[in-house]
Amino acid sequence: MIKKVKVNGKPATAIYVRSDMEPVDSEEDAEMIKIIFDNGDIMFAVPNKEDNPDES
Amino acid sequence: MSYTVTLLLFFERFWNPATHPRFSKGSKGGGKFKPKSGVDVPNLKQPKVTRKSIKPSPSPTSKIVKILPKSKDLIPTHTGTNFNAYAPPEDNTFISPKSGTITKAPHDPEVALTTAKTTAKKLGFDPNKVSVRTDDHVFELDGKKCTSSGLYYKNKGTIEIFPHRISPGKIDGVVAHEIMHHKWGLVYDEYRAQENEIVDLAYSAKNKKKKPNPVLSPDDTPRPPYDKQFPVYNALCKYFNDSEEAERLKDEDGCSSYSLDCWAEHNKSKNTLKLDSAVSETLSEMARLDLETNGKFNDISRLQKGGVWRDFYDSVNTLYDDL
Repeated sequence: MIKKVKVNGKPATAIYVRSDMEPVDSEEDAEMIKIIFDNGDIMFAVPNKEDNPDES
Repeated sequence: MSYTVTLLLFFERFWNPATHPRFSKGSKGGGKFKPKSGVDVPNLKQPKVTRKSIKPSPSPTSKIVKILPKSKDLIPTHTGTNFNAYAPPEDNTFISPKSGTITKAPHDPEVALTTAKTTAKKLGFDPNKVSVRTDDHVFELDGKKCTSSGLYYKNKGTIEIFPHRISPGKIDGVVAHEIMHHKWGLVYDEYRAQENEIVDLAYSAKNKKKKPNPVLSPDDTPRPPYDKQFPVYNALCKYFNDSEEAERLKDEDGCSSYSLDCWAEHNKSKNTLKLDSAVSETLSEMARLDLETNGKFNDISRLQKGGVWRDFYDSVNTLYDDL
């Protein structure tokens, strides 16, 4: 799953994948998120399940 | 009562734990379980036993058990996305379940930094631009909290790694991936700069009316001597103009299901994932695979020499080295 997002208000593109970089079809299945900011910065991230209880 | 006290005093005087068979054979025990290569409590001249020293000190095994990380701390559960499962034990030690070897944990900041810097050197990236963070960088993505595991800052050309948020054994792959983004970013920026320059030159007042154009061929490749003057543009223009190679890049869509997904999204909506981002993700995946396959890169059919992506990947690496 790939979609446009906002990270702390900054526009970016998020690519949702498993920990082995296999793509997933929904945010809930993601173990990692690759974030490509419009300014060229890039971030690997992990969702905080404990802080987003509705996803668990 | 007095008989019991006398018996206890007698026992305390003559029972010496250092000479007791159980202790003299080491904490691993004796008999058939006695280790073949010596004992872990030397059977030398024993100290005089007093009431304070009668309690044996903790054995090496008990020390190990105390620092042994719980299995759930080291093995991903795959039941969700709780990457706290990788939180390192406080003393950053790791005991191999097979060999019992005690080493620093893979997520130990020092080990992670060494791994990251070694990978950087191997890939021709300044190792001083790689750093490790032990804190948590928490942010909101569309209102949901997330935590960084790796960051690449394009303007500074630096990489930050959060080893406690990366699966064990994946640090070098993450670093290789980020370094390739950096390489591609610099090469692509230089490509765009040279493209602007050569187009300005080709359509300058001096050249625009000349037939044929002395700078660019009809397919937009540079004519000599401009091919040498604009080497990055010369090497990559065939991939970005409407050429056979450009179509092959899209058709062969990289090396993994991740890059395939990126190209599918680019083909669906060029606003969500632009061409240079799809290229960047594919090249970065190739860099990760190049490192993780440990010399078996050529075994991946799509990445064999002569393939469009492999040629493109090799060109970008060479151009980066020459920048």
